[in-house]
Amino acid sequence: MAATNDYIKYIAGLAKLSLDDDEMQSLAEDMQDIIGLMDTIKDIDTESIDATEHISRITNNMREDNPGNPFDTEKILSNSRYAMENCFAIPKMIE
Amino acid sequence: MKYIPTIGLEIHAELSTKSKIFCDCPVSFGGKPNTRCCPVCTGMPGTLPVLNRQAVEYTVKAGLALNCEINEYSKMDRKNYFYPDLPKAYQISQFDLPICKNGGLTINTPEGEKFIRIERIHLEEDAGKLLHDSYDKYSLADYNRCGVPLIEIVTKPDLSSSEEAKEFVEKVRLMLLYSGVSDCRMEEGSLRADVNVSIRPFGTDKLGTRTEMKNINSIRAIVRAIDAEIQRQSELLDEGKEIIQETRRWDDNKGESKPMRSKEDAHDYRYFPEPDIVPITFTKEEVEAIRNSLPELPDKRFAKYTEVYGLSKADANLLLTSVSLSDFFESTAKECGNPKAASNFIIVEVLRRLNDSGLSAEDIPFGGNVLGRLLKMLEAEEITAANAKKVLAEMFESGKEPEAIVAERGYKIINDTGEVENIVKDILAKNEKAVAEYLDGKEKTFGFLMGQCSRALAGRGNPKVIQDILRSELSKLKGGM
Amino acid sequence: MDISRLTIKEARRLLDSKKISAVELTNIYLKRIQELDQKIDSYLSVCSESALQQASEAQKIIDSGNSQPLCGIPLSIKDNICIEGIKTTCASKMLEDFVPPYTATAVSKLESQNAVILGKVNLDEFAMGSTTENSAFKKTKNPFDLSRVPGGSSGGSAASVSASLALGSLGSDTGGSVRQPAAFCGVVGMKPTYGLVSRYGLIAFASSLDQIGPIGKTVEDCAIILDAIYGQDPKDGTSLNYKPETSYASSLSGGIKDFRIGLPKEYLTEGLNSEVRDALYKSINTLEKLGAKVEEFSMPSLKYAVPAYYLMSSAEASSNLSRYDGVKYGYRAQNCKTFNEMIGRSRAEGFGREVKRRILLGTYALASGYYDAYYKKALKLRTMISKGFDQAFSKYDVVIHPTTPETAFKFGQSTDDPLSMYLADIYTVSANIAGLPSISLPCGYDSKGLPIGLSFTGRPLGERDILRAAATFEADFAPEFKVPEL
Repeated sequence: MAATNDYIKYIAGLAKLSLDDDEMQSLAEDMQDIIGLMDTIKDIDTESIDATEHISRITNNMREDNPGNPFDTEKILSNSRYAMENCFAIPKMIE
Repeated sequence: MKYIPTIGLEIHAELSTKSKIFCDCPVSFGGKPNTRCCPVCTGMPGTLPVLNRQAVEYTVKAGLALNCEINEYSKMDRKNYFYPDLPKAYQISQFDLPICKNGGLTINTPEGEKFIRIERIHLEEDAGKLLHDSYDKYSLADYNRCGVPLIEIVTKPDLSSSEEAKEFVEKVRLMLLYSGVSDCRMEEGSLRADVNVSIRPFGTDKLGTRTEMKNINSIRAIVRAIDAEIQRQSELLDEGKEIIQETRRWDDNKGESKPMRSKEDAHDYRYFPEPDIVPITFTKEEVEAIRNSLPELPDKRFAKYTEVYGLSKADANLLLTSVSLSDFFESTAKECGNPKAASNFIIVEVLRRLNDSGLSAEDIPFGGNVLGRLLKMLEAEEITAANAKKVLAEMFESGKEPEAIVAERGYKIINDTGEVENIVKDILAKNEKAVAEYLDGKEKTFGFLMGQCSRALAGRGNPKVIQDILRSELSKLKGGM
Repeated sequence: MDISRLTIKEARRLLDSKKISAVELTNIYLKRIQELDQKIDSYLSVCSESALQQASEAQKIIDSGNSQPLCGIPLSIKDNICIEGIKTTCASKMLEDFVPPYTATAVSKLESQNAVILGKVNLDEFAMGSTTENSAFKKTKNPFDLSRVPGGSSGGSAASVSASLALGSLGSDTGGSVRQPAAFCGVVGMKPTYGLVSRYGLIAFASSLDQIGPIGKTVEDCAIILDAIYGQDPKDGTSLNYKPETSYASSLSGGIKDFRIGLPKEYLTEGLNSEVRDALYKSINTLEKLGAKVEEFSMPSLKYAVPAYYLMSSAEASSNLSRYDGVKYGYRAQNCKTFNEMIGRSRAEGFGREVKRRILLGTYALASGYYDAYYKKALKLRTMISKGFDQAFSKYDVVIHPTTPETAFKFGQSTDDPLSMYLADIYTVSANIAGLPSISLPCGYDSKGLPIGLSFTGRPLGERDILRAAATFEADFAPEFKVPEL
């Protein structure tokens, strides 16, 4: 499946990467090659094979419903320079 | 009807676990922003989700209460999209293998009973909240609600009117309350619904284009939103216009909906199995154990109350509005052996007190068996109805047992006719004038004499007994003259 | 004391017999870092103050006679593993100023043995790459030849141990990122069975493939570190509830007489450099001399290991890296008017090129219409490869192969040609795909003096088999073992 440059542009949009034209162009070229390598898997028939969704072969690894102490809010906000009123501030949104 | 409406619902209920679904942050309503978060639920780098067992069990319980099959193997999946209320930029949810499937509930419609199918119930995490009002240039993100466990109940498009939707949501709510999995407080957001509406011309089969209205959080709003949308779509079709498939926001204050700016320009969620959470499996025995832990559900109780106990539908429904009330009624009925009397007394006296003081059935400071004992005394005519009310009041206030209150206040009706006779004779002796008037033919003085006797007996007289003895004494006097 | 030959085992003996104090030992390393790391550029941040404090705490424990194996031992930590209060950057502009308020479980376990953390070492950005050239901050050099790459993504870990700027290191391995740099830098590196070591605090690249792994001068040193860091963690729902009967460090002896060793034919491709091939066969001779039986076998599904790996890892990475949106932490682009503009530009400006490639590939592999042909198919290949190994391990105790097709190459060679980079992962990715333990150790040096790595891969939870095979080989190879001249 040769991915068109337009489609790769669409993928970049899905992934929220606002690339400028030059970068978009050169990444699209890289992607053509890389997808070419990925396409080699078309040669093998996996119709009757189940997908492995979890490699660790265990199930039901759950925790008990015991609430802990609340984490320090200061620490939660500490890595943002845009904290206001105990919240994370972002450009105004209209929903 | 020119158009046939088709309605589907996606109901989200917050599970009443003590901690969040993937971390041990405590769950409760309200609170200062970001005070109930941790690195896991705020999606900090290197953190990992660990699944809350209770959330899984509650999901199974909800599924069983809603007549679903439980998938013996299920898993979590990632739903990827960018939005500031979603810290990881993916929601851990369930895609193709939800915990519950193929269930439903029967509702009552004017045309009779109707079964509304539930396609699936899955477990997922809630997102945070965005606040827009404080600043002109900024919106604020609060992640307290991130990671609260939610179940999403998805119906098939079997509903045909806002009334049916109302019935259905109310019934789902009751089932969830009875299962103990959610407090279903719509005003606090722990129960909310997305509504899908489409219409098609009468006589056709193909479903029309549907629109979606998200996060409606009251039953009244659900009804209004559905009616308004049916109206809006009908008008569009009448004018020969097309209905656009879109998500709309329902504004209950204005009574209208508007198209929403889409959360994702392209709705490609790129679902894939969540690698950080291993699969969830159940044995048949485990599912049965969970089923056995469910209390008797409202449907069964309603049938019992109406068919076996002979209560009216209205009374039955009233008693069923909460698990606590219903349980309270049942233990009262069990103790006193007269469900109808128990029902009447609870509805008239107990519910009234609760409503007046803004309390609910959970707040009743004594068990139904204790009330049952009071009712037994009433039934056995050991106390008057009037005093029974007084005893009830004191039971609420002082927490004392009914027997103790009756003894202390001397409410016990004197059934010893000898003692009553003496008192009656005493009254007659002290009221010669009234007796004379009665014997003369003035029936009215009987009432006066009754009153005097009752007072003298300090309310411990069985009115019927007093009446009989008074009449008999008076007729003796008559005869004696 | 020849610091370039010092091992954790030997340092323990020196510390416990009071021949050297913990503070002295730490100071030796801090001084060496100061003098030599300008040549190597392995450290992104050095924690001198806290390291010396940890050393003096360790000394108290040593004095009381209660020292655990890593007490007072100076280690480096790859900078994608979180330590509370210390910058953890993932060598990315995106996390340049990120200071985590929590510590990775593996590091907590080291701290509970009173190990000394010298600092955080360099990596390919977000662990994506095989040369450490993708770091946004520094270019780490191979101590054996400063014009060549140390490998990646745990290049800083391998280089710091190789140049004796740390006695051991914690790296992370998603497709070979511990073993390949260990091979390039002439040291030992291992990836445990998936789930044996907690991933809590390891900044995620590909959740179903990542594992934290030790790098050391010897097999025993790696085993000592592994003993300290493995174990079920309530904070990691994929971590295993497993405890070996005896410690890994005590499982190295016994020799390999009658050990059955398999060599996959599919690995003997044209791309395998002739000197590496020669070293492989020389090693096989050694192993046979030591009593093992080595045999070639075929596992056709291995042909698809590289594309399967890149599809799976990129897909998971594209999702794991979505959280970097500038909202809660990390780089945020300036003067953005809308939320969409803010995240689009923050991510475009904060991420390097290789990261963007992987995100694009991963998003593509998961996109509607492509999911079945790419991601889902990769998961099916995963099944085939796992089953292939299951079959192999019914016949063999361990599987053997070169760690890399070539020795360390020059700087700049890879950046033009991502595809050839990906293909060079051919030997290492299958252990990650199947969740198997694997260890790389030096087995020779090419004509340029560059180290050649040999790998042993074992069945799930088969660490003891690979450690024993590696330790036995290592003992025989010891006279040839070289350290870089710096």
